[in-house]
Formats: sequence, C-alpha cells, structure tokens
Amino acid sequence: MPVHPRALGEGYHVTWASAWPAIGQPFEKALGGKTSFLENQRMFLERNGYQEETFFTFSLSPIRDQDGQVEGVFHPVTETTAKLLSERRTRAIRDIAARAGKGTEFQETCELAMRVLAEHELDIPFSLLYGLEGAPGTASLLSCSGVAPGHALAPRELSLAGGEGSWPLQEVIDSAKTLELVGLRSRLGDFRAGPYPEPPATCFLLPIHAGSAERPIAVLIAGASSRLPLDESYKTFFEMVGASVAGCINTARAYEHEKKRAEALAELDRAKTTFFSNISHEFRTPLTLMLGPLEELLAGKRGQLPTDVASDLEVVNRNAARLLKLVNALLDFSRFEANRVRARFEPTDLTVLTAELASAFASMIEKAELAFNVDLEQLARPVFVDRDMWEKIVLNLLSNAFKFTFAGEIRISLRARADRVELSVRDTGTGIPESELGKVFQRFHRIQGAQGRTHEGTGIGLALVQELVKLHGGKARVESRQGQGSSFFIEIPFGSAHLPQDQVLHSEGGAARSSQQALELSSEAAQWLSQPKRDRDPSPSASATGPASSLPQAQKNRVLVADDNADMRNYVVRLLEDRYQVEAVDSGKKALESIRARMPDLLLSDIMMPGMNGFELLQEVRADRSLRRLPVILLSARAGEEAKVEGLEAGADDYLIKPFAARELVARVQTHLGLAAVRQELDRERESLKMRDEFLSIASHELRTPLTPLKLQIQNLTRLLRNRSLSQMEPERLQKVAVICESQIQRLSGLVDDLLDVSRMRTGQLELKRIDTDLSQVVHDTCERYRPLLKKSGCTLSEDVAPGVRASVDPMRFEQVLGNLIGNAIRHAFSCPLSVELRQQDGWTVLSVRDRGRGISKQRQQKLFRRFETAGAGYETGGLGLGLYISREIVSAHGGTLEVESESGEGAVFWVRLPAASAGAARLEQEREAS
Amino acid sequence: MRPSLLLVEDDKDIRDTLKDLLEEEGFEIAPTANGKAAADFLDSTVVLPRLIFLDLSMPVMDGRQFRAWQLAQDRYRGIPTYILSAAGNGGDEAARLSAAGFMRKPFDLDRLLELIRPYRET
Repeated sequence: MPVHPRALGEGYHVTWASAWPAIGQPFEKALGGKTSFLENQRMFLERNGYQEETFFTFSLSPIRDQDGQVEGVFHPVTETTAKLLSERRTRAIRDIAARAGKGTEFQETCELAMRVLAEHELDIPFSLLYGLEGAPGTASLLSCSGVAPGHALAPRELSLAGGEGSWPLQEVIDSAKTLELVGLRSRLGDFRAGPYPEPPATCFLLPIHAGSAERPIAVLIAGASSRLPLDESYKTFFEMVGASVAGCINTARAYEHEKKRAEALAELDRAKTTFFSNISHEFRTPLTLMLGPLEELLAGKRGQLPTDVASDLEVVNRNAARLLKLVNALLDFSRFEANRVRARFEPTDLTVLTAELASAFASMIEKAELAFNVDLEQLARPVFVDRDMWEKIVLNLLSNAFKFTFAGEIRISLRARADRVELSVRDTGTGIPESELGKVFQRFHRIQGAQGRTHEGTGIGLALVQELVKLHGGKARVESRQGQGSSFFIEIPFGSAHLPQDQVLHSEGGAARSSQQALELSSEAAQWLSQPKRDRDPSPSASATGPASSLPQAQKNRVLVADDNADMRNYVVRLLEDRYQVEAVDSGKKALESIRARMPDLLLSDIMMPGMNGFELLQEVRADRSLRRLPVILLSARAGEEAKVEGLEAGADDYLIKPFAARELVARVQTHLGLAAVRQELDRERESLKMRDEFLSIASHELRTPLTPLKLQIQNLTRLLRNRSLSQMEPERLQKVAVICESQIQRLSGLVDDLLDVSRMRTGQLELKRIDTDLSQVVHDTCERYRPLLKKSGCTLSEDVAPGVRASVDPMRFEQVLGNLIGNAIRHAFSCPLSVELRQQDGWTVLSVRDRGRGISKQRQQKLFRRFETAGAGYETGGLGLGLYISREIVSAHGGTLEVESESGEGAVFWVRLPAASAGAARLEQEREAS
Repeated sequence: MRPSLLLVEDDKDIRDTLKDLLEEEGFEIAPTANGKAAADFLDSTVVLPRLIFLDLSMPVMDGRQFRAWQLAQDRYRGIPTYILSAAGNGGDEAARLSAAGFMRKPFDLDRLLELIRPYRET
C-alpha cells in the first residue's frame, strides 16, 4: 500500500483523502455520535498508484467513553469490488445480447451494440468498431462510443498498412486473435475518452468473425478503464464483449442475407407471372385470327357450305370462342397477380354506356323468356370510369345473373346517390345460400351445388368485378336469399379526387367503342340456352373437404434439451414449454439417439456432460448430412471459459453463458427457430421455382404444338378466301381441316383447363359437386369414350366392373380422374393391353387402372404426383405433367387415396380408393335392402 | 418429277397439316414420326429428298441425334435441313446443328411458302 507506512499516526482525512468524498460525511456524523451503515459504496482509492474504482461495505459507529463522549470511531470495512464488478460486467454482456441482438440489419446492430457499450463506459470508456468488408486495404468506422466519430482516436477511414499513431488492425487480422495494446498515451498523445479525466492506458483489439471464416469481418477496439486493475477477469470480460458483439452481428447478417435472397426470389416470381401473361397473349392472337374467317364462312359469305361441314365448323367456332374467353380470364387474372393494371379514368356518360352494354344482352335474355328490365336514370354529370373496366363489370354481372336465373326477371338499374352512383343488377334466380355470401367475390369461388345454366366458367368473373370496382375507389356488395334471387350493388364515387391522378383523363374519349366484349360474353351466354339442361341434384351437396395440404397451423416447434443436471434441465424445460414442444434428455448420447429418431427443430445442449459432451454431440450432428441444418445452441457453464469461441468454431449457431436471463434464452431460441424456418421456406421456394421453370418451358412447348397446325390451317383458309378459290376445295378436304382445327382446340382447352384446375388447387378452392353416382356406369362410359383413342394407339382395354357400385362423388371430376389415368396409361404403355377394374372391398370402393408397359422406377414413383412432374426426360411423353397431380388432389378432396404400384418392366397399376360408406351411398344401400 | 421433302415430326396433326399444305404446293412428301424412321427412309430411297423439315423433340431418336447421324453420312450431309421447333432457343440450336434455317412453332404460312419456293423449281 503506498499510504503505508507513511499513514501510521497520520490524520484520518489525510490518509483517506481519495476516499473522503465517499466517507467524509459519515465519518463526521460518527464523531457527532451517529452510526452510519454504507453498503457497496463506490469510491476511488489511491492504493495502487492510481485512483482505483472500488466498492466497500462499511459502518462508522462512535466509540464512547464512560461519560458518553465520543472518543473514537469504530470502522469495520469489507471490500466488495470483485463482486460488484462481476455483476456489472455480466449485466453488460446481457445488455448486448438483449438489445443489440434485436437488430436485423448489420449497421443497425453495430450502432445498437456501441450504444450499449456507451452505457457501460465505466468498464469500457471507449469503443470503436471497424468494418473490414469495404475497399481492400482499408477499414471503415461502423460505429463508436466514448469518442465522437472522426476524433483522432476514431478516424472514419483507416489504412490497414497502419503506421505511427494508427491502430494496428493488420496484426489482428493476421493473427485472428485478440491484441492487447498498452501505452496508449505514448502512441496517441493526450486524449480524453470516457468518464475520467485521465485517458485509458490500454485497449483491446478484438477480431469479429463471421461464422467460421478465417478472416475477421470487423475489429472491435475497446478501451480499458484507467481506474481498474487489468486482471484476468477484466481481460476475460473483453473477450466476452467481443464474442457477444460478434454473435449479434452474425445474427443480423444472417437476417440480411435471407432477406436479400427472399427479395431475389420474389423478383423471380414476378417474372413468372409475366411469362404466364405472355403465354395467354400468344393464345389470343391466333384465336382471334381464326374466329374472323370462321364467322365469315359460317355466315355463308363465301357460298353455301355443305351441311356437315357447316356443323363441324360451328363446333370449331363455339369452342374457339370459349377458349378465347378462358384465355382472356387468365390474362386478366395474371394482370391482377402482377399488380400492373393501369386504368384510364375518363368522364363518361354512364347512362349511355350502360344502356349500350345492356342492349347486347337483351335479345338473349328475352329468348330465354325472362323479363329484362333496364331502368337507368339519366345522370346529371359524367362519372370517371375506365370504359373497358366498366364493360367488364356490367357484363360479368349480367352474365352471372343470366347464368343462375331460369324464370322471372333480370333488372339492371343506375341511380345517382348523394356523392356516388349506384349500379344494381337484380335477378330472381337460384340465389346464394347465406353461408356462401361472404365468398362470392373470392377468386375461383363457385357456389356449392348451385344450379346454373352451365358448369363452364372460371370462377374469376365476380372476383374480377370486385377488383375493378376497387380500382375505381368503389365498393361491391351482394344481397341474396336462396331460392328468391340475388342483387349485386356497385357504388362508385362521383368526381376524380379519389383516383390516382396520373390515370385520370379529363376529356371524354369520343363515342363509346364497339363492344366486342359484349358480343363475346353474350354469344357465349346464348350457348347455355341451347344446351339441354342437365338433371342435377338440386340440394346443395355435402361440402367438399379442402385439399389434403391444409396441415394444422398451430404445430409447435420441437426443442430438444440436453443437460445432465436435473435442475437445470427442468428450469430450461419450464422456460420453454409454453411456447414449444420440449423434450429433455440427460446425456449427449441420448440426445443423438433422439435426434436420429426424430429431428427436432432446435437443439439446446450443455457443454459439460459425462460420456458424450456438447462439442462431441455437435460434431456428430454437423457430420451427418441429414442433420447438418439443425440449429444448435450451446450452454456453457462458466463465464469466461474458452468454450464460446470453441463452440462457435465447432459450428454451433449460438451459445449462452450460465446463468442466463430467462428472456434471453427464449429470445435466442426464437431467433434461431425463425432463421431456420426462413431458410427452410427458401429451400422449398427455390425447389418449387425450379420446378416451375421447367414446367413453364414444357408448357410453352405443349401450347405451341397444337397452335402450329391451327395457325397453318386457318391461314390457308384465309389465303383461299382471298384468292376466291375456296369453292374449288373439295368438301372432304374442308371437313378434314375442320376436324384438325377442332382437335387442336380440344387440346388447347384441355391444357388451359388443367392450368385453371391447378390454380384453383393452389388457392385451396377445388370444389366438388357431389351427388350419389352410379360409378359402374361412369367407369363404363369413360372407357367407351376412350375406345377410339385406344384403338389408334394399338392398346386393348378390358373392363372388369362390378355392377351397381354407387358412391357420393362429383361425377365429372371422377371421370376426369379415370380419363387421366387411362390417358396416362396409353401414353406410357403404347400398344399394350390395359385393364380397368372397379369393385367394393372392406368398406372401400376400389378402382384400378393397370397397364403392361415398361413400368415406373421406384425413384420416379415418389415424384409422380408432384405438380409439374413429367415422366421421362424431355418432352418424350408429352403433356403438362399436371394430370396425376390434379387427379390425386381430386381423389383426396373426396376423402380417398390415389397410389401407384409398379415394378420396372412389368407395367404399373394406379389405385383409387374411396371410402364406400359415404352417407348417400349407405342410405341407398339400406333402401335397396328394405325393398 | 415433283420435288420431294422429308418431314420428320412426331405430332400427327402437324405432320398431316404440313403434308396436305405442301402437297398442294407441288411437293412429294415423305412423312416420318422420328429420327429413326427418317434415317430408315433415307437409307431405303433411291431419289434423295430436296430438303428436310426436322422437329427437335421426338421420341426414339430426336432431331439432334438425327442431325448428328445425317452429318456423318456423305450421301445425306448436303441436303438442306430446316429445324421446326417450339423451343425459344431453337435458333441457337439450329446454328449449332449447322441447319439451313429455323422456324419457331407456330410459324406463319407465308413464311413457310417463301421458304420452300426456291426448292419448287426443278
């Protein structure tokens, strides 16, 4: 002690001059007769040649003589410096993790970390964080505390070459180890940093590593207090600060990285949507081109056609028009997907426009013996609408009303309200059940069990109406009573203030254009009249189960805890069990067994365990390809041990030092589960995007193939028309043209239908119209339908169908499944015998389609039912590869299964199993027995 | 004698359509459904076709394999061969296969007629 022995006999306030500010007052009080008790009093003692920050607990009580006079002071003292410093430093480490750990961006995290360090200036008077990822050979200041950026200590840019008065960063980079730098004042001259007037003499340069990379990505320079002894525990503290900051930075970088990847993928997705829209465009042009000449031919402008040719061309014409409609719907849909609809809002006489549109429907509605009531108020002022969009709104509503109205009237009216205009379309049709009302504007939604004029349609119409109305700043709503009819209301505000100004045109764009859309939609609707009305079960069928993919959402993450200490184990389990499904084991070996048996979502392991310790467990996990991605957090027992560094090097995602705060544990676990989930999601996304890429290339090929003959045939017809030489064409030749065109359109329609089905399934909106069905009959009919194709392909088909098998299914969907399976068998087993079998067995209805083709390898079998999967390399076998995926979804929606069984070289069997005990079938069974 | 054209295309509707159209333009058409059938045809015919229309994606033997085979045969190497394909990169592929030209499906009738005109005159 430097005050010793000089202090002996010296006055108290002289000896303890440096502590006087803290103890002076209580000392005087004790002399005055009052006792003071002071706990953990912070004071500066000059006991080691400098003002040392210390903590003491002491009391000062008067010593009295016989007369009660204060003779002296009793002054027992306990030093608590070590304990208090340890607590303070532990708090600092926790603060870093708790606060900087919340950063999700690199720079933000650096600043948060330095802000925390600034609050702990007693231990870290200044800190500088230099990033090494900028220009080579330089370091740049990311953030700092205790000094201002740009200060002599903290230049914003730094050359790694170093030199006089500069930080030796290169040395830290090369060694990748902490560097203790002494004699700061002689290096840097006099400076002030931190809470005390005298500058720190020593600082530490701590490398910050990203993951297991050798070269650090940053260096943390942390000053040591000039008033604290630089002992082992202080040095360990710096190491922990470095590791803690590194942990936070790494987490933030991982977040940033994932975010960038997610953005890149989203960009890719947008590109895909554009591609879809391009495909649709390509459909549209040739279709439009062929409709023109077809109509001219049919109208007899080129002379009378032989009757059979005319009727064939009629079929071509009708289907081409339908296809065009579907393609247009797809196109609108993908535009909305891509969010790139641009409107042209112009002041419009809405009464005139609406009247024109309504007139296109009039004759047809009247032909159907319905009353058509057009009640349009003459509006006093123009309304800002996009004419094309308004057409779509009106026509879709009218077409929808017509579809579901069989008697009574359809009324369209237009009214001016205070600040808006209201369009309503009312019908006396089948109406919408209350439970469905909320869903009518959803994409792909079709009313369950509704009786309509047709089952065609995309289910996009009303969704489109709503989107369009929203674009106009308006609202769409529906009122309906089942059996009595529905009313759709559209409201659009007057004026243009509510519209995006860059899309508003202020002068009216001339007379209304010819309403091509109106013609298309109304002529399609006219079709429905001529179709024989099918006898359908009028009551809404049992609601279809959603696709099998709807997993329970609230699946808890599974966390495995490995710790040999029972109390610790219980504590951790208790902390986590509210949020996660926790399993706890007491050894590394058991942990590994558990992981291998069923992979958890995260492993939390103690390091010190008998047998296999935490490091060894970690090594096993990282060495196993299938377990490698498991997030691992290590718990290390003692602060300051080398474990953390070793732990991160061994590949742990994070580590925690015991004792840790409950919140911190939960936060770390949550963070790493979140990161792992993002990673998994990205992997899945990437995989499915890859498959979509391949699919789009196949789709393009498949779509272009039927377009080739279609285009050539139509152009040839056009050419002959131009040369007036069509009449020289033989009727047989002309008929052949019609047949080829028709079959191309069938192919295209099939492709488009499949695409729509997949879109519906993706959005979980596959709907079934289940009715009690004679499956035996459906199977037989479907087989008959395929006979011509079978014959053409040289296949024979044997039917083994039990009679009278019934089930509650959607018969059209069921036909589609069987058709897909037969079509598939024909493609893959060219010229081979096929057999179709239907029977009832153990409460199941079992349908099988067997071929004697080359079979399917086990590896392919696993992928067979995935979306966009085609067997064989390239386009060898044709098709979009959607058939089996769609079929399986349909069967699942019926509560059944679709499976394949095949040995290479021995053909394949596809099994459809449906639960036979569906309510409708069972009831019929009983009735039959009773009679 | 009518000029002849070897058509190698696996899609029956495209094959039939091209056959009808090109016959009307005065060509003799040999329609084949894959590279193997086309090679067999060449090996068995006395009068070589004046040009070849070749699809790329076909079963059994595809257009690339056929073209490689054809280029290795002195007798057939010189027959002008046009690639007809739906693939977006068909042009590059056609160049790689040293083809006389490329038409992307679906192609225009006018373009087709223009292409065959020089081969029609004897």
